[in-house]
Amino acid sequence: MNLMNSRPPHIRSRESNFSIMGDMVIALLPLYFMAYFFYGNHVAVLGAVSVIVCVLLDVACTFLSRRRVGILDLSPVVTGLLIPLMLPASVELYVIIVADLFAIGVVKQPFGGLGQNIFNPAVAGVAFVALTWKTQVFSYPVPIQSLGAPAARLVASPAASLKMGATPNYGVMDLIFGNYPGPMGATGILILITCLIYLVVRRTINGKTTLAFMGTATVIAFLFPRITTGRLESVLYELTSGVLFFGAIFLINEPTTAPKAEPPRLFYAALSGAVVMLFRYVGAFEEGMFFAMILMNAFSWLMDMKYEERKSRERRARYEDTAETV
Amino acid sequence: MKTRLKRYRDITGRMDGLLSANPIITYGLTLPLAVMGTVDTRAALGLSVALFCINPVAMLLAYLMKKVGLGREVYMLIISLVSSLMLVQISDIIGGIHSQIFSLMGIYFPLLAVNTLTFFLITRCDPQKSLLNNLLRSIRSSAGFAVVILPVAAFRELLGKGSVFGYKLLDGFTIPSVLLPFFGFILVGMVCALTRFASRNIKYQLLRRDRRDREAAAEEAAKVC
Amino acid sequence: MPEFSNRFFEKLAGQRLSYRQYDDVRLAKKGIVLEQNKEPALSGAIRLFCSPEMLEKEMEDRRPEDDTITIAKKAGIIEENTGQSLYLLLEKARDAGCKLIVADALDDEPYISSQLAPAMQMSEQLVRGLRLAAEAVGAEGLRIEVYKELGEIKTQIGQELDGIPIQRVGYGYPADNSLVTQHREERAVVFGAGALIHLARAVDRGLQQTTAFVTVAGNGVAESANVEVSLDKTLGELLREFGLLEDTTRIVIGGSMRGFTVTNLDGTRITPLTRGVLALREAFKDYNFTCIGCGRCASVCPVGLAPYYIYKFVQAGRYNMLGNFDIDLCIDCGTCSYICPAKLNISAEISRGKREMLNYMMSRQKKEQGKEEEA
Repeated sequence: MNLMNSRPPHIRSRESNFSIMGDMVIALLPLYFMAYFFYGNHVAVLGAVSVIVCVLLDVACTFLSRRRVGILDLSPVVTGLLIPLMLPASVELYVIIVADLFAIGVVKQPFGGLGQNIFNPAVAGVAFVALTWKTQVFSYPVPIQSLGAPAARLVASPAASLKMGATPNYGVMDLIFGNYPGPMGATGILILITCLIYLVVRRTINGKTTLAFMGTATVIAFLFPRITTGRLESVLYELTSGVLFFGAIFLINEPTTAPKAEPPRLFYAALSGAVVMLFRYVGAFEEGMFFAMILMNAFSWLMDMKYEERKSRERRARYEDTAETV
Repeated sequence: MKTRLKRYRDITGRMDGLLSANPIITYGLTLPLAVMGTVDTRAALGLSVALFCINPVAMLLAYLMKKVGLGREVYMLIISLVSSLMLVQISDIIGGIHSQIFSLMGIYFPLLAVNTLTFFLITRCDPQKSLLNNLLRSIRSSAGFAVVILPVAAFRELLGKGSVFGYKLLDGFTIPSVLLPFFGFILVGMVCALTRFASRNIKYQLLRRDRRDREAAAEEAAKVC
Repeated sequence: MPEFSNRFFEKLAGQRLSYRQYDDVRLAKKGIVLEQNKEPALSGAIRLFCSPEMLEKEMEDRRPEDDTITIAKKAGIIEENTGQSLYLLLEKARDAGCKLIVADALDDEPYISSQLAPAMQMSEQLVRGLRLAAEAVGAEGLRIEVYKELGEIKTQIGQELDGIPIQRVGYGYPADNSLVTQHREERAVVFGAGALIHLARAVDRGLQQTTAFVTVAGNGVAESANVEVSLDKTLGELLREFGLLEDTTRIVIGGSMRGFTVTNLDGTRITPLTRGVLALREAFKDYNFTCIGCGRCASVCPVGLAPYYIYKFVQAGRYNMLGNFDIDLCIDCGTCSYICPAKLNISAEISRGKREMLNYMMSRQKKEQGKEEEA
């Protein structure tokens, strides 16, 4: 009988990194199925290539940095699955590969690997690709009609219409089911709501962060509509166009780059909502999510430290220097 | 009998400015030139040639002025003026490299008059050492600058435009955002990290070999006794 | 360098024995509810595993005029939470003028029920012991405290026991720390249920304390139960009595959250402080996970610290910065390690950080003294 030593506590909860990342993967797969239904085989190829490139590069970098290599950690898989979902289905393979290489090789690994990155790798990868190949990243195929040849006919998404001040002419049903051109994984609002519910119930993400982000975005869309057909319509189109809702679920809740304690995290989410809308309104691109997230990620650490200092004063006030009575 | 590590340190010490104490990698000088002047290899070459011309002259002037005893404000001002005059004269030489080189270098060519590398060198100019010593140091530092920015520029031009020095090598696939400043910063940062990693690795390997030699020598001595 | 109290240095100087050494920290949050796994040990009958010569051993020097405290001293009763002799605690309580005696049947750690089961099954002895202690100390109030979040148990725990109220306390683990302030305000003193039962036996039947109540549990033993085991038995004997399985990987004594592992089974004896022996089969596979910054540790810390920062600084070796994170307020409950999905030993690293910080501060003090002497 081989007895070994362990440090207290000797029992642990059942959650592990594998289960958290696994839940994220499970939540992302329905989006791929939806995109496959709308856009055909190319989606599967993009997803598979993205995941493989991310995992290989992550393993190679970890090995080169002389850290222990572990593939049980599904975080490169999550990054690999996130990147194609923010791009159109008609995008070329090399765009995905360059985004992966930038995300893992420049944004994640040089800063120290998992848990040490300052910026969200998926967001930064897509931002880099959006800067480089602007037309490819922002022209979308029409769903279902372009099955088989996604690059045949490319149109602009509702986000571009909003940027120009015109109301997109898609009905509410189309918007909910994703039957309009847009980023691969960000169009099916109903599926996204289901994924959100799944993740919140499994306690992988905190629903309050998403609520804070969407709440601020809603308020700004309500108060400052870009289109002239009414405030409620503005709210509807702003919230369902582009990567906003997708980002509210998957990008804001990335554990490494968001502030760790809850009050600063809610503040970060609310401020991100405002900054995203700002980038959308006055920025150069139709979708400001990527650049807004990079900007906010730079301040996560500051929010955490300020909160910690304030909390330290409260803790010290509660500390009693008394002697034992018994 | 010198240890390997000591010999390595001697070599890199003698190549001070080139292999150790590199202006860009160790001191982080001339970053705008390294980041924005490297969008094209021709621009990088132009900047390097200009620096090679400016730095020794600046060093000579600084040496003389320090020997005379002039203060820092005076000699820096005078050397900046002299540099800008020199740049006018050098522009003929540099224009000969390529016709479009000035449009590629943009504002960074005139900025060479007040670049941080020259200032760093003239403030560190030691009038107690010989003039030759100081001149050689300025040349080595300029070479160090060139050694870093030429490969970086080649890499960026290859990825961004598909050519090196104007000769088209790649056809079709380019990543234009590599030519943006942010990628320049990332690239220079990576070059710094890689060279530091390499230098630490080399020193560690030499240390290990020295230790093995010492242990082997100790064993030999123990066997003899 | 922030000002640390003298208590901080006292805590680090010796081995931590009881949660009550952290009585100066008021908790900020309710604890977390753990899976208790107290059945079948809690509701099953308490077994007796005693060597014949230790069974019902009488005190040698008992005299009729001895009062309760002297009897406690002669019986050699040890209180199981603090490890101190019961008579010393009774004397201290009497001198301090305590008003309320509390019987501790909390058992907020999973698997352990070695105070609650005797309290339920030997309740007359507990009540008698409680009344004797109150008389000896001069207190009027009596109370029994039981943990609230026991999970699904088969025993019915009533509202009172022979006139003594049973209070269900604690909103999660750690429950005992949250009560310390309340006890101080009520001028209450807490004794473990086992010690009180032994006190009743000593006064009524003149018996020494030769046994202790221990829970044997875990998936490495064939049957789990509460045992009254004599103090000359070794861990090995006890575990083999309950069917120790071959593929057990860890034996934990003292509690599942705060105890420590033992590898030398036949060289370790049962003591009154043992409280529980767990035989666990699953080893922590080396998952090689790193901290992903999820922040769960901070959300469960009862004191409201930021364990992820302290962990990172301890790992980096920067002990001088730890004062900014109030590391002296850590109560070593282990909740952060429990919840961490990367299975990091956060609590153990923070303890190590406390020790290293003490070394660092003392070495700096010595340096300053040396400089003063020179000047």
